[in-house]
Amino acid sequence: MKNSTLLILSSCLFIFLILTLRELAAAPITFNTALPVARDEKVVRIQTKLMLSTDDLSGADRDLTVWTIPLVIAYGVTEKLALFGILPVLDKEIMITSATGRLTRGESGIGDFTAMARYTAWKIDAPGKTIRLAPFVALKMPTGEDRAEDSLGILPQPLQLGSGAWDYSLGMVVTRQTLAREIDLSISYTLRTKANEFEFGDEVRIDTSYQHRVWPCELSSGVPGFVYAVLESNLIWQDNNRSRGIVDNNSGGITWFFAPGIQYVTKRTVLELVVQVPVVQDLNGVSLKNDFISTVSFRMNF
Amino acid sequence: MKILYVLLTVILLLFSSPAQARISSLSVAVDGMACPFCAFGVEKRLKTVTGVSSVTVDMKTGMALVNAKPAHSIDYQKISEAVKDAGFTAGDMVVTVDGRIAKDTLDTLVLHFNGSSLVLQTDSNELNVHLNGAAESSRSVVLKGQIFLNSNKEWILRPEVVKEVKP
Repeated sequence: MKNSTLLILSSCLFIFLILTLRELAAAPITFNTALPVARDEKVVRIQTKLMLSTDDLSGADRDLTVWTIPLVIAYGVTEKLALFGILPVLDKEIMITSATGRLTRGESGIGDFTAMARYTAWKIDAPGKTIRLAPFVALKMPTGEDRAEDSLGILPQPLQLGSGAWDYSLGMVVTRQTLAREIDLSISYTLRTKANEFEFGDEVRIDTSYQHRVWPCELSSGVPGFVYAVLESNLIWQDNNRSRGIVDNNSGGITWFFAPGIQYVTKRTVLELVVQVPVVQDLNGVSLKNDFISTVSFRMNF
Repeated sequence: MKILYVLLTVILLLFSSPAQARISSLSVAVDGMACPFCAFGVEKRLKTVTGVSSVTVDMKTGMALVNAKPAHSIDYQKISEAVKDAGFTAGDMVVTVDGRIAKDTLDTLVLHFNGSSLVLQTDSNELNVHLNGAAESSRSVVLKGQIFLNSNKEWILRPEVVKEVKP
């Protein structure tokens, strides 16, 4: 199946889910939550992300556009253990000014698959509120193309759909939820390994999310849909990449995103929109800076 | 004509038999449930409990109302486990139960229904008189009250209301 066909199919699935929307629900948009996936419950989350990076100090006037459609499936093995599978469909395109004029390079298709397990280790439940702590581990597998070529040769590693490497993540998420609001804090470390003589830098993330119910102001009976105003923060530190054992001084650094968003949550579904705006980008060398990342996301449980 | 009379008698006996003795509805507090998306898992798990026909969750009160299938009794002993499977903690449970009261060897009042039984406990003298009266007359009663497992692993019903006393 061609990559473009996969993108179209994923988009059609997303539109279909939107059209068949019956009810919508809460949790962070840009990262994971400690809230339960009930035993034998399945949750499907599909997102469309657009990342634009045009702030280039290198003089090459690089414009990077990345569309990502990650499909996430979660399954509750027990009330404490949930397994997640994440498969992204990617479309990466970079425009560069060279001696011969403006060049476009890129690739689209399936990216690297990530498997994740989360275990709710501790919780306190009370009427209308809960607090939970859940450690998680994740394994990113090299399922995406990592040696794609165009007329100019093999694409640079950051433009490949997959890294070719196995990456390991370890983290912990804490969630405090009441009927009126929710606060989440997630801390994770990702260990990256080498493939094709290239190694992306390890990553540390500190993510926080605050969700405030803005509608309905007064709860009615039954299970009404909730609208939450959302404010998230993503603090990301990435180590330098290494190519053939040599440190790439134009990679890695610190990025801090603020992400305002909105969620509509019901019993079966969640529709959410968030825009991650970088407030701090202390990147190494002439790393391409990020303009924004916008995410539209839909969740449904079965 | 005689056959018809016998058939009618059998049908009437069937309808007045202990098949009607059952837990017809139950409400359970679901502690920790604080968002609509979580309510789905609670409904889904409670619907797997034997005898359950429908489940209605109320976010404001944090309660789940469980109704039995016609002529079936809700397996109340599995309710807490179902709430736990959904990732939450079961709180107080209140049942509406139809059964017959009898006294056991220790003179304790016990409500029998659908092959199961609940030990009755009440602090109200007035209610106690009603319950003893129902036990002596062997009449069927409909009680509403809180149920819980005591330290001896016995299921206790603390009736709040005698909703009906049947002949």
